[in-house]
This record gives sequence, structure tokens and C-alpha cells, in this order.
Amino acid sequence: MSQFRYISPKTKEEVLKILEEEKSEACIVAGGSNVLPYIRDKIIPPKLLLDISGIEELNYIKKNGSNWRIGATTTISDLISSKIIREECNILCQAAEQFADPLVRNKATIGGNLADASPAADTAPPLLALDAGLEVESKGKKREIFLKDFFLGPRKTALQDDEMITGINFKSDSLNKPGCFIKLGLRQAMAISVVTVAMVLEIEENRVKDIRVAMGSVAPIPLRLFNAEEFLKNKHLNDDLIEEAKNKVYEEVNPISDIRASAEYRCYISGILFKRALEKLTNQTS
Amino acid sequence: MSEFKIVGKPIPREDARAKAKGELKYADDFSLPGMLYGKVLHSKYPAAKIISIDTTKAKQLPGVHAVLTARDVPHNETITRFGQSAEVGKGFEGLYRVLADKKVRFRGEAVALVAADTEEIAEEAAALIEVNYEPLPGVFDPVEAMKPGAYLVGEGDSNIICKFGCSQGDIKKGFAEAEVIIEDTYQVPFVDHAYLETEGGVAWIDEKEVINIRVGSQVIEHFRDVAEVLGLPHNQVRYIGTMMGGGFGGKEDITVETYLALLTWKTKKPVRLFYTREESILCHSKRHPFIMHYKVGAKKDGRLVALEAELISDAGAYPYLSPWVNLYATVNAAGPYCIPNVKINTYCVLTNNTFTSANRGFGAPQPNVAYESLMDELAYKLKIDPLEIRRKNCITTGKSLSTTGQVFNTYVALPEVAEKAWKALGETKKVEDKNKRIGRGLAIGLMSYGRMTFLHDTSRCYVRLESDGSVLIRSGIPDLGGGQVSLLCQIAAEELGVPMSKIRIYYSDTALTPLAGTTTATRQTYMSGNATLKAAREIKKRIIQKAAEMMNVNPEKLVIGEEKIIVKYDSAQYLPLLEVIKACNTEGIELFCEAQFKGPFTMVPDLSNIRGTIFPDFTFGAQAVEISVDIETGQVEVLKLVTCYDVGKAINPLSVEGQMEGGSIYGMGYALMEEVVMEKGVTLTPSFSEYIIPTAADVPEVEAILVESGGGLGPYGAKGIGEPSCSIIAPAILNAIYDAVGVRIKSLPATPEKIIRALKKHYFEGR
Ligand SMILES: Cc1cc2nc3c(=O)[nH]c(=O)nc-3n(C[C@H](O)[C@H](O)[C@H](O)COP(=O)(O)OP(=O)(O)OC[C@H]3O[C@@H](n4cnc5c(N)ncnc54)[C@H](O)[C@@H]3O)c2cc1C
Repeated sequence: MSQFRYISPKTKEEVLKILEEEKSEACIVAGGSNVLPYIRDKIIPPKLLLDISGIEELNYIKKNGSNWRIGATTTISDLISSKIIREECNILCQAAEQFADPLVRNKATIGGNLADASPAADTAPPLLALDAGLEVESKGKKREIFLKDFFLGPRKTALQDDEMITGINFKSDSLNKPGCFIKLGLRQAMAISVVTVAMVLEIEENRVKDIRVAMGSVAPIPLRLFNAEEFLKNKHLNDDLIEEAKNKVYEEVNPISDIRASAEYRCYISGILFKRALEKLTNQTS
Repeated sequence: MSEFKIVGKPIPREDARAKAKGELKYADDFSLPGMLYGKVLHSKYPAAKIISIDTTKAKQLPGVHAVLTARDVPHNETITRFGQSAEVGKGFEGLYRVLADKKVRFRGEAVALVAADTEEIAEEAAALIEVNYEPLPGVFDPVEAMKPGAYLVGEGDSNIICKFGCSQGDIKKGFAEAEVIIEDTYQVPFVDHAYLETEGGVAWIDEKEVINIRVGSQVIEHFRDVAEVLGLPHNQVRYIGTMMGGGFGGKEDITVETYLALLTWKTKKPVRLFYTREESILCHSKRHPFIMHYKVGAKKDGRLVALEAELISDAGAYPYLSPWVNLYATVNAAGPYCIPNVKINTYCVLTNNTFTSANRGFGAPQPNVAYESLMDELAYKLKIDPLEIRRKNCITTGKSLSTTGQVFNTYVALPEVAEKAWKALGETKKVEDKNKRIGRGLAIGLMSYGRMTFLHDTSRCYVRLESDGSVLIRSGIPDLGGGQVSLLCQIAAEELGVPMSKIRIYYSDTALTPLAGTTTATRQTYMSGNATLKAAREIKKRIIQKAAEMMNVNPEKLVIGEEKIIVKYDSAQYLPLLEVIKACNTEGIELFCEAQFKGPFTMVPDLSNIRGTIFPDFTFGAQAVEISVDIETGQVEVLKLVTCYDVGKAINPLSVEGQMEGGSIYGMGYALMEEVVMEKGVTLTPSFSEYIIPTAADVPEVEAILVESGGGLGPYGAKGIGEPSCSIIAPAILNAIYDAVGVRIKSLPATPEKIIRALKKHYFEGR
């Protein structure tokens, strides 16, 4: 630990300047709930730790018309205590409430959760289902990356060395309310997900008008299930159709076996959670 | 027994305030000027030859004070002992090797030690030690390891370290009489103790050349073993025990004390060494996994006529407490049932897995999983109620244990606790969820408290009544967090008629407190409780005698309480305690006493057919649960948990309930989620991210029902509860899963995946 340098800039501009100079020599720390375990496990070698947790301008939850913007250092606890998230974007609230435990949630940020690019990142499936985009900045440059294009593999993202996530944005459209997030873990709290599903759905006369669905821990990256979505669009929902859609899910997911569950169980559960999300949302809307 | 003033009352514990305020100094809350940091280099192979060890680079690193290998240890190989004073012979003593020499037996075995100015330097130095290994094939499955020609883990000619047997009646005849026979195999995994506080401490040398080791240990008597490793007289090593953040059997063996002693001895400086969580999981003992093959025979009316069991357990790489644990398993193998024909065989086998040793329950929970699952199967097969079949077969007062034949002359509460636990489940919970099925399960069991009688167990305690009426106690008792220390205070307060606030206790110091024996085997309430009672009563006798003289009444007419010596039935007639103390002191009457309590002594039994009294006494209990199983995901939720034990007498009901609740959750983790997964000797669950235990959010409603028969051997008729409390819950949960969804899980933990694979066979078969 003592070989690490540490700096805690107060503004975004400072961060971007340091990133430009240090590039991969710098390691952004937001809540540190991934970074600290990585340091202990020697996954991160001694570097400059660039603590962004104190940067006020990156901590916000805003809604302007139908445009949502969430700052990168917004913590998971911030999501839970936000009235507007609870009332108008409940899917994120559901994910936040099933995230780790209160202590970790106080530290963990939404930006860190996405930048860490774990297939099990709990905020990724709801944000994928919300069709979110990431606001990414480097010194003097801004760009936007769709979340669906952001994850490249476990712990691999489309971010360049000198870039940081500054915020997340998405639109509320007719789909966003209501949404459903289901997490299957091996205990009631502090569980890394075995499988998660996030779904937003619009039903018209028992017909799927539109649907977006994403899953966690079923592939090397948090996964949008485009084929299953396409398959269901414009169809009348019934038990047989759901069974068929489950088969589409099985085709799209590609989980691994690890200490928590086998690939077969994950695959099976992805079908079950997919069905449950559909059932829950149709019951709520009908 | 309403005359008690302090005993039997749910009062705050002696240690409660300091713990609640965060003021208590645990082993890690301590440092000394100039203190060095110790690190252990652990083997990276589960089985390998050590060709060479080169410590040159490590020693050259600035800030490094010592790098030690097996060669530097005066007596690197000694015999495992656990504070017993009686000779017990070869069958129970195994090799204790401080640092790996020539060959490593498990991944994580200590190979070298480092002391340096900082933890980082110590870590860096450990990484600079060049160990040249030649990997060996190893053996990782106890059944494989038993076979002739198997890879030999140690230096002996067989991997089997002990074989125990027990039998009564005629097993062939028994099965011939049976009208139903059920046969099955059950498996239980390695589990970790998962205490909050990992293994560690600080050691230093004082001005008398004594090595002081301030450490969390359940067995401070290990000072002798450490002295023997160093080749020092016993009185040159001193343990200062601290309040512990959990022991659960994991601090019953020597943990890091020998390493601390060696490093401080070589450097002549204070040394601190604490295991990380990963080291704790990888390198220190685990609970024994067992493969248990059972066969039971019964009459159509449910009466048991025969039980045969073969138990095979995995000792891992070194024996440690394996023989003892397997003895417990053998004695417990037929459960709390009267069965005329019984035959048990137990084998314990070395493998190249992490070594196994004591873990709360000590060999009792494992067979309990098997026989209580079987009883349930039998009940379903014969269409008999789960409570009824147990009531029909369980041991009652005056009957004997079906393995050893030990007779129970005091109250056997089994029928009572079984009924109370089962009934307390109350009305079935309603669940709205269409995918959830409710199920209930019951299990009963017994477990000894107090050490095996052939160990000739004793405990001592010193009590002194000060001239101002306050009390000082000195006892070597280690407190694991179970309230052991506070219990002694309560007993002294009760007997001497003073409030808890006037008691001060010094504990767990091998130089200054009388040795109280180990805090293991659920023995402290019984053993040290009795020693304290004896010492306090001796002082009380002298006080009363003096008061009787002063008041000119018969001493039998006097009682002590509220700091007074009172004439029975006439509370207006009394002397203040202080006055009597003054009189005693004037006359030189001793108001201090060191007393020893002795448990019953027996001979070492014939290990091929263990019969007779092996344990002083047993605690009987029953647990019942209501759960829900999600038939689509396999997830189990425990909705209600009842735990009912005859605790004899609850000296502090709060502590007893705490044990019963905590023990239940400990066992619930065993049933549903805990497993140290080892693949060819490599631990795949090295942290609390993979090794999961229940969180507060997983804890259901727990109801603890205390039966107080007064029939125990402890003070005031108390029995032990620490270990028995966790030993029965697992099969209750398995039985509830069966009740809910008709699936019998025969290997712990009952994970959602195992349940779903059993429920949806057709889905998984094609994949
Ligand atoms: C005990 C425990 C339980 C956990 N449980 C869960 C859980 O239930 N669900 C779950 O999803 N995760 C869980 N995690 C993982 C972790 O808490 C989350 O991934 C968390 O959201 C990470 O956020 P952070 O702010 O702590 O990230 P940090 O650790 O600070 O950073 C994580 C990574 O993101 C990078 N980074 C951070 N912010 C930015 C940014 N703005 N721009 C670019 N890069 C950035 C860092 O450089 C680092 O590589 C758990 C972790 C722990 C220790």
C-alpha cells in the first residue's frame, strides 16, 4: 500500500489533466469497493490512486423533461434515497436495494460499478434495459458511448486510458415505468449475483408493443437480449409464447461455471427469471 | 428455586459494557515499541518434495530481522497435545510439525517465517524466499487414500490414522428381524469457523527471559507445547489470553503461537503476527468432511431394531484433533435412539487437503445429519408422524446410549424437547407466491458436554473476598465470546452475596491465573463453574461460621445475600458482610481459596469396541424449522426456527439463549450454504466472497425454548450448551426440504442448484 501515490482532486478538470499526463499510470478510485480488494490481491500494481469521490460536480441525479442524467460518483445509497428514482425509475431502485449491504452501498458508485465491467455488476442490466448512454470525457474531449457498446469483456471496457465516465444518461419513454429487476443470489444480502434480469415492457391489448431486457452473470459482459426482445415484439403473450421465448434466452446467454453455480444452472435460471420478469410486468400493467 | 439472586437472572454480562463501547482490547488491539511484523510463507503445492530453500535474498532485504525454516526450529516435530494431563497413548497423539520439512503435505502449510520492520517488508521478504519444489501426485479423496498402494501423505505406511468401532447386540440377527430396511449414503463438506477475529497475537520477551504470547486461544495450556518446540522449560513460556472474537474450535489447536515464539526468540524483539482472512481459510483447520454409509432396520410399527454405519472422514494433511473428533462421531453415530443391535466403524484418513480438526460440535453434527435424515425417511416410508417415530425410539431416563452402553440415570429430556420444538412451530405460515412450497422438519440429538472421562479433566479457580467486600477472581478460563468469564463472576456473586459490580476477574494467563483447562468440549460451565462454586462456597462457609459465632446462632440457620449474613426466615436479624470480614481478618481467617474441580475419571477404552462411560454427561435437544422452497429456483428460505434444549439450569438465560440462537444459525449455514471447496487440494473459496455464511438478512425468526431440569453436572444442575446448540439443525432443514418438495438432499450444503437438479431431473439430464 505504501508504494501507492494518492491524490484527491476537487474538480473534474483536475482529474482529466492528471489522466492526460499519467494515462494508465493513474487508477481512478471512486468508492474503492473494487479497487481496494484488487490492491490487496495485487491485481492492481502500485500506481497513482486518483480519488474522485470528493468531486461534487459528479454527484447528481437530474431529470429534465424526459432526459435523465446521473453523475458518475452517485452512490448506490444515493439511488435508494432519491425520491424521483424510486417513483419514476423504480427499476434502478430495485437493483440498488439488492446491491451488497448498506455499508458497501454508501461507498460504491454507479460509475465505478459500470467501469469495473463485471458481468455481475448489478446496475448494468437495468441501465442496459433503459438504453443508457455513458458520458465520457478526456482532457478537452467529450464523447458518448452507448452502454451496450461499452462492455468488451470481464474488466474490459471501451474507455481509453485518459478517459473517465462523468455521467450516465437515458430517456424516459413509455417503457420505463414500470420496470423490473430480479436478482438471484445465494443469500439475502451481500451476494454476488448468480443471475440477474432487468426488463422494461410496454403491453398493448396483451400484445408486446415494446420490450427491452438485459441480464447479468450469464455472459462475459452484462447482456442485452436483442433476439428475445425481437421475438416477443408484436406478439400476444401467453404461456406457450413465454416458453418459446425462454428458448431464445437459452440461445443468447453464454454463462460460465464457477464456485457459485454451474453454467447449466445459470442458463436454466436465466429462463426462469426472464419468465418471472415478464409475468411480473404483465400483472402490473394489465 | 426462587432463592437465587443473581444466578438464573437475565443480567448483562461482565464483558458487555466494554464490548458495546468498543473498549475491549482484543488480541489485535495491542502493540509494543519496536515491534516487528511476522509473516508466514505457505506452500503453494498441496503435495511436493522440498528440494531446497534459499533464504539469502530475503535475509538481505533491508528491514528484515529473521527468516526461519524448519532447520531453525529447535524441536520441529513434537506431539499434538491438548492440555490433557493423563497419558492417553499413541492412538490419540499425532505429529505436530512446526514448519514443513523435506515434504509439503497441503497447500498453505507453513514453510518459512519472516520478521521485519513492517508488514510490507515481511511480505516482500516472504516472496523472496526461493523454495524449490518437486510436485508430487498427492491424494485428495479419503476413500482413495484408504486403498492399498495409495499415495502416502505422511511418513507412515498407511494414510489411515485411526479406526474406531462400537457395537452391541447382534447386527445380523437385527437386520433379519427388520421388516423395513433403509440404506443410504450422506456426505458433509469441509467448513470454516469463520470467526470475526482471525488467528493472531503479539509476543515479546520480558526481563525474566520469559516468552510472553498475548493471543486469542481456546487452550492456553499450549504454553507447554510451545516451550517444548523451543526446548525451554515450561515456565519460560507464558500465554496471556485475550477475549476472543470467536473460537468455534478453530483456536483449539496451536494457531500462530509457535511462529510468534520462534520469531521473538530469534530476534529478541516483540513480534506481531495475524492471519489474513485468506490465510485463515487456506491454512488453518476446517471441519471434517464425512462420508457416512448408513443402514437401519425397523419393525413396521417404526421400532428400530438394527443400525449399521460406516463413517469415513478426511483428516486433511496432519492428524491434529482428528482421532478425538472421530471418537465423538463414533459415540454419536447411533444418535439418541434405543437400538438393540448396532455396529459402527469409523475411519479417519490423511489426504493432501487442508487439515481438519475441532469445529463446534466436534464430530457430533456430522452423523446427526445422516441418522436424522434416515429417521425421516423411515417415518415417511412407514407413514408415521416425524415426532411419533422419534418419541417411539428415543432414549428415555434410565436407558442407555446404543453405541457405548453408557446409562443415563438423570433426566433424559428427549421426548419433552422433541414435542416442545415441534409444537412451537404453530400454525403453518401462508405464502402467496405460487412457486413456493412450505415444509417442516424436525430433528433431535444429543451431544456430550465435558471432556472425555479418560482424559482425567480438572479445573481450578481462585476467589478472594477483599477487606472492603469486593471480590477478586482468578481463573485461566479463555472466553470465546460465549460469556465464560462472566459466568464465573455470576457464580461468585451469588455464593458470596455481593452484586456483580463488586466482582473483578482476571482470566486466561498461564503465569498468574490458576489453570482452568480448555474452553472446548462445552466444558467450562461444568468444570470451571464447579471450581468457582467450590472456591466461593469454601469462603462462604468460613464467613457463615464466623457470623454464627458472632450472632450466637447455628450456622445452618444463616444465609448470605445482599452483602448481609441473615438469619433464615428472619431478615431483621443480620450482620453486614463487612463486619464479618473485619472479624475474619482480625483473626487471620482465610478469605481466599483456590479450588480444583475434578471430573469423573475412567480408563482409556478399547478403541475397536468402545464401551462404557466415555463422557461425563450429555445435553439433549430438538430443533424444528418451517421453510419455503422455490420450486423454480431451488432457493430455500427458513421462515421459523425453534430450538429447544434441556440446559439443566440457565445460569444466565441471556447467554444461553445467545448460544442457542447463534448455534442454530451456525448450523443453518452448514445446512444451506457453507462449503470450503477444495479441488485437488486447492481451495476455491479463499475469501468471504466465495465462502458464504448467513448474513443478518438470512436469519429467520428464532424461538429458543429452555428446559431446565436441573439434572446437569454443572453448578446448580447446569448442562453445557455451546456445542450441542449447533448440532441438530442441519437435518431438520433437510427434512423440511423433503417435506416441502419431496427431494432428499444427501450432501450438504443444500444449495438451490442441488435442489433444482433433483427437482428438474428431465431438464438437466439432456445438458
Ligand atoms: C463486499 C462487497 C460486496 C459487493 N457487492 C456487490 C453487489 O451486490 N453488486 C455489484 O454489482 N457489485 C458489488 N460489489 C462490487 C463493487 O462494490 C461495485 O462494483 C461498485 O459499484 C464499484 O464502485 P466503486 O465506486 O466502489 O468503484 P471503485 O472500486 O472505486 O472503482 C472500480 C473500477 O472503476 C474505475 N472507475 C471508478 N469510477 C470511474 C469513473 N468515473 N470513470 C472511469 N473509471 C472509473 C476504477 O478505476 C476501477 O477500475 C461488491 C463489492 C464488495 C467489496
